[in-house]
Amino acid sequence: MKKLLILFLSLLFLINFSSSIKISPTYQKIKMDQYETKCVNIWVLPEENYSISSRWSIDGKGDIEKYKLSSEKIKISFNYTYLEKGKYEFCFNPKKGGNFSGIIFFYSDANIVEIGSWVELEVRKIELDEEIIVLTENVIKDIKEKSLENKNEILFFIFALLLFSFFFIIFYKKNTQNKNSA
Amino acid sequence: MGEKFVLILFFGFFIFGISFSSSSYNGTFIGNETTTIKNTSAEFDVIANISATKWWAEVQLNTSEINFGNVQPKKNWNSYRAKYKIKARGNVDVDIIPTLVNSNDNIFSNLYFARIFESSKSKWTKIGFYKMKFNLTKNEGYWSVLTSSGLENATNSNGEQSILLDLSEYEDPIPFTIENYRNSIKFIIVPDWSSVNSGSP
Repeated sequence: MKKLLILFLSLLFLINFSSSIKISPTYQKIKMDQYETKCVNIWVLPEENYSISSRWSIDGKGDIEKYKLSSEKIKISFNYTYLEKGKYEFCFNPKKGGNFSGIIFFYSDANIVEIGSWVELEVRKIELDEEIIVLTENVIKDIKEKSLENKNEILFFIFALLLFSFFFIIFYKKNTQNKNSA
Repeated sequence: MGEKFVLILFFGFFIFGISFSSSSYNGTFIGNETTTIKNTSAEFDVIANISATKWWAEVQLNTSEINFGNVQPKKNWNSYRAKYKIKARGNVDVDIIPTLVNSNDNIFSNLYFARIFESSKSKWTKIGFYKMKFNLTKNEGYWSVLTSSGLENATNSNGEQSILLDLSEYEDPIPFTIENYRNSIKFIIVPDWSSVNSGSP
């Protein structure tokens, strides 16, 4: 009886030890312009807290040994957001033209597995006059965002000042009332 | 005898319960020749396997730890061997490369891999140079394992792979016994570039 129980428990134990990871898509090609931002989705399951990293190459074409460059090195800014149910959104913004190949790795500490998805960026280099327009647009956008931040700061300052004045008036009135009564 | 009978009966009921709970029963049976409606609500499940429109891959590892036990450096080269299981499925070929998490390890850097246990050392590949290639496009969507004869459906084989710790040529001094010396093997899964570039899935 004990032997059977042990066998049953060890079977359960073995079942619990299997770990699985899946990724889709394993390859994506994105055609875009220099300074343009484009986003793609990657699904990784099971839902876990993955460490995400990327390695890039200019002429790698799938040879993992050649993927040694960082995104900063090849002037591609990219960021990602976790959406839901294992779905991630990756956004790329290349600062120069050319063909770039990258692999995005998801590392699961729990499963000791690192799974990758290829991303190929075909970036059209924009002309000088076009570049000036795009850069100017970006600068205007930045200024707008910053001025909005400043606007919020000023509003907060005014609010804080009003609040302070309000309490000061109450304090002052109470103080004068106390003096008069005395 | 009676105790065993009760236990087997209990086990049987347990398995029956699991299999029954996993299948959903909605009251309507439609057979080939007769139709029997068991209750008033007439409904049935609709089921379909939907093919992926994207390249995808899934890998399952069935081992969380390998313990080589008490290891004596300089013993026979194939003294310390173990097995682990790995299987994969998808619509794209994948390469699976085992690497050490702590790469500066002069003990576990002597790990060797092979598909099955081989007596000849030349048929084993050292960690860092070993790559398992799963040509999943040949068995699209189904769980596949690697055997000595190549890729096979996981229903025909359990996908056991061999791993060996060879310290027969280890020369650095080990002044004291090290208990529970450990490292981790990280499996890097990389989709095969040529199979993802051959059109859409």
